[in-house]
Amino acid sequence: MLKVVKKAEGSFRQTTILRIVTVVIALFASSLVIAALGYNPVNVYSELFQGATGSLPRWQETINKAIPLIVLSLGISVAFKMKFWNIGAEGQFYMGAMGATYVALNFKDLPSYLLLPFMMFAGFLFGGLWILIPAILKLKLGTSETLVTLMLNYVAISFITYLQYGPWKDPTAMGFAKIPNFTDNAVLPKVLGVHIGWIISLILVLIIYILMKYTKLGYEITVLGENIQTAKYAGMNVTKILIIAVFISGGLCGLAGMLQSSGVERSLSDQISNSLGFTAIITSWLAGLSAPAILIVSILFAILLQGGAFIQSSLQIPASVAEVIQGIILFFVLGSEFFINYKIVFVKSKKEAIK
Amino acid sequence: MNEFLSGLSSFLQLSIQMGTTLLFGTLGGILCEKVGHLNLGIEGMMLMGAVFGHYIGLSTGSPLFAILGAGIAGLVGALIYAFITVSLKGNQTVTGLVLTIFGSGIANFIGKILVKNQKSGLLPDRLPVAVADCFKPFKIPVLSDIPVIGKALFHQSIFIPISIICAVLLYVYLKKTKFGLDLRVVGENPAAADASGINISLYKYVHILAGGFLCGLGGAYLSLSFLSTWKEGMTSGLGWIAVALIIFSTWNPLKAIFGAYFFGILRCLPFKIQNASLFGIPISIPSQFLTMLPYVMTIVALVFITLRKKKENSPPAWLGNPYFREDR
Amino acid sequence: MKDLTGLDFMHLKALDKISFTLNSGEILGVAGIAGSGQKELCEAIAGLQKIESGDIIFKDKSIVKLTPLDIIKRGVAMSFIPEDRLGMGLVANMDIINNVLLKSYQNMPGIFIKRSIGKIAAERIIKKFDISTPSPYHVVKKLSGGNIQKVLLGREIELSPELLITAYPVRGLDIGASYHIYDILNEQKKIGVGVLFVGEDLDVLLELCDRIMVLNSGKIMDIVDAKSVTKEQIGLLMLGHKIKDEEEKHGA
Repeated sequence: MLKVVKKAEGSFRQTTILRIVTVVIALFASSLVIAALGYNPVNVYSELFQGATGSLPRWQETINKAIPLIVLSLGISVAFKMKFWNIGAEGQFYMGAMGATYVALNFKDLPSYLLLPFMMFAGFLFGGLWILIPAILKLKLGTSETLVTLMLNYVAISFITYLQYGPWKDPTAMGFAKIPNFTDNAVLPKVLGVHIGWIISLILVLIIYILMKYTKLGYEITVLGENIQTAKYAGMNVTKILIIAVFISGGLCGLAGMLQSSGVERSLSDQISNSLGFTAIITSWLAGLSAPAILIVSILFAILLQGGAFIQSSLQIPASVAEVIQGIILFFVLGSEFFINYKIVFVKSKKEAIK
Repeated sequence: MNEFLSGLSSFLQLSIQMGTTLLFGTLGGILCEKVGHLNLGIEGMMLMGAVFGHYIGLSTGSPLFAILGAGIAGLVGALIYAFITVSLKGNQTVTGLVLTIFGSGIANFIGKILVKNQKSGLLPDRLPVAVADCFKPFKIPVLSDIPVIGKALFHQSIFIPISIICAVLLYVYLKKTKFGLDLRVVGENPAAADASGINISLYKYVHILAGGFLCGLGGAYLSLSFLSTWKEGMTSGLGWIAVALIIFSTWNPLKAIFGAYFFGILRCLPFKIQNASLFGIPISIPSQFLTMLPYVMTIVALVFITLRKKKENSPPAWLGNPYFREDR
Repeated sequence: MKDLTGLDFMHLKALDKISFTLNSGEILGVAGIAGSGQKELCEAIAGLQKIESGDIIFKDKSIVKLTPLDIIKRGVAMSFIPEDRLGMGLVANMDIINNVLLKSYQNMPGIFIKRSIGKIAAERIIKKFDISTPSPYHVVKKLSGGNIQKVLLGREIELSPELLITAYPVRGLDIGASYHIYDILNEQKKIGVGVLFVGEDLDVLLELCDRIMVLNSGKIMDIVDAKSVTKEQIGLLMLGHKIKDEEEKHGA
């Protein structure tokens, strides 16, 4: 009969190979589904890939989608590393965007080189403050952060809707509920056709990488996430570490909101996130919470998203197919974790199984 | 005054309708969490239930098949979740999220096929009479004429009594039956359950799948009765409110009934309060704040729950004294 | 010789009016059946448990109200090996170097961790304690049993503490490795460290320690001289029976 046994940890290389194999199997399984729906999988995949990378403008769109995903995933990874389950990235994203928008709308006369950093600061700050609510509830009362952060997402989104239809409504928009567009000095400039958010996100990848691997704080976050008892035993100030790390997490998500509203939307609405706050949880997890891996996984996801949008028009395939493929790949990867951590052993008799 | 009362009556009737999908989803979620699994995929399972229910209703004209199909659709979603999180011990949070994305993707896809088939004549444009009549609100004579609550309680679709019966049955099951009590052990102390010979995997599968079935029914209510159509994203976040409601009702199916209708009232309020005036004073609360209320109230409920636990001397996870795990 | 630690009067939930003195350059053994209060005692000294009343004096200063970090800085080191070995002193998923750094990283200047320093310390520990591992980068949870506790004990000794609390340091080790550890503990004693040794093996306690304190249900049954007490007497004390003959208990 079969017995499940915990495996000794494989090497990094083994794990990566297993993951890649899983994705390949998943793509194959998806192609079966695509074929069953009446389309040619090879066609679909190639169009998808082309749609995301086939030309410069398409690449730019892909990068546009990757930027918020990267920054959000980085933010989530810092919290997750500490086993603080921040499901509230979506809400922090919106609050950050709101903070940045407030600055953009009220400080229109500042020159760009002052206004933009100010907006970034506001985005970071608002996102960080929004996550402090569940953090403090956890510290003082032990309330589960998973659910509080989740709930706060919808509070944040509702608040944005309120602003959009109420106090921040653009009087010149002819009855259409919309927040006014940013003035030019509040819009992120472009480099190589994409707003400089891409440079910022690359810098952030580097910063977070260095933070987690080489600084005391990164070390403390890791230890705290692994074993609270040991952290205390080593004399670490758990409260301080938690607050700082969580603030960084929320702040990054808020910054992502600022980048999106300033670089792409040039305004604010309750739709600008495209649920990336949730997608980023998945990418962050897939990347094993590692900054460089987050960069790669986010770009791959962006390709999938952009490609999916593209094949909607070119092949008349509903965009939901991209979601289905995404889902299948993710289910396979989630399931493969099992094979990474455990192995199935055949045992001859019950006696052996008890061993 | 009469106008006010009849307005109130319709309002309550609508609130209960708004709360019914929520109730199904919450009951499904409670079943799942009782075995120790947090399933964030409720929204996905609801959508699958909605689209499959409507499709099967259109194509077979049988209300029974429609409702069963919807439940099974939700169940299949739950099966994927169960396989990954129970047998393969995968991460519950991420799997649940993926289920929502996947579920909504499949639902949208089937929805597109549905529309296509309707246009090409393969499927009728509306639900066949047999189905529509089965699920539309029906009046119970006399009782439904009671002022204020008559319509709300006795002039509703058959889904409403079904949901309430499910809740009551669930309550009885959890509190009074052997299986229900065993369930509690499985959820809170798997080691003990294992030692006493309970087949944990089986328990988990059964309850997670049953939960999925209920979520599917919740979606079916929308597409077979309340709106009698399919629209992308028609659950509009109810799955997430259900997650909130599970906690808000402290995992108690009876409380869930009241909680669901209460949240239903909150959802209806924005439409009523637009230009309302209370005793002649115009009040206008922006509707979005009312939309926020269920979520805020859930956070408050969460805080209360943890505060109460604290009084029973169990220290919050991060602030407790360190414990040597010598006896593990 | 400094008088290291005087625990004058300590009243914990698990401990009841404990009072004793540990001198520098001595090994004080702590015997007792599991759950007699050994854990709590160690935790209390290291600052990880709150004491209801009483005081702990270390080098003439009270340390009762200090944070664990300050206590570490004062020169108190604790290594406690729980049944699953990895419980509290080590992080299972980190490598040896990162675990070695656990108590000393705070002393590094700036915001960066210099792992090179940790590596040198790790290699030193590996050599001194004869730890079997392919490299200092090996993840701790993959080390075989005894090696894990060697890492833990080694790290604590690396800190050059003046008070070393060690509980069950040879749990599950073979004879050779155990004796190696005893030698190291004796070394510490010789250089003036006060060692609080919590152990299970009565023969070892008798052999290694200068005095033995026996706990039962959170109370001190007695503190006896290791050279003159017998195994049976300790056994009795552990079970809660007092020894009647005064002369037998205390050496001069």
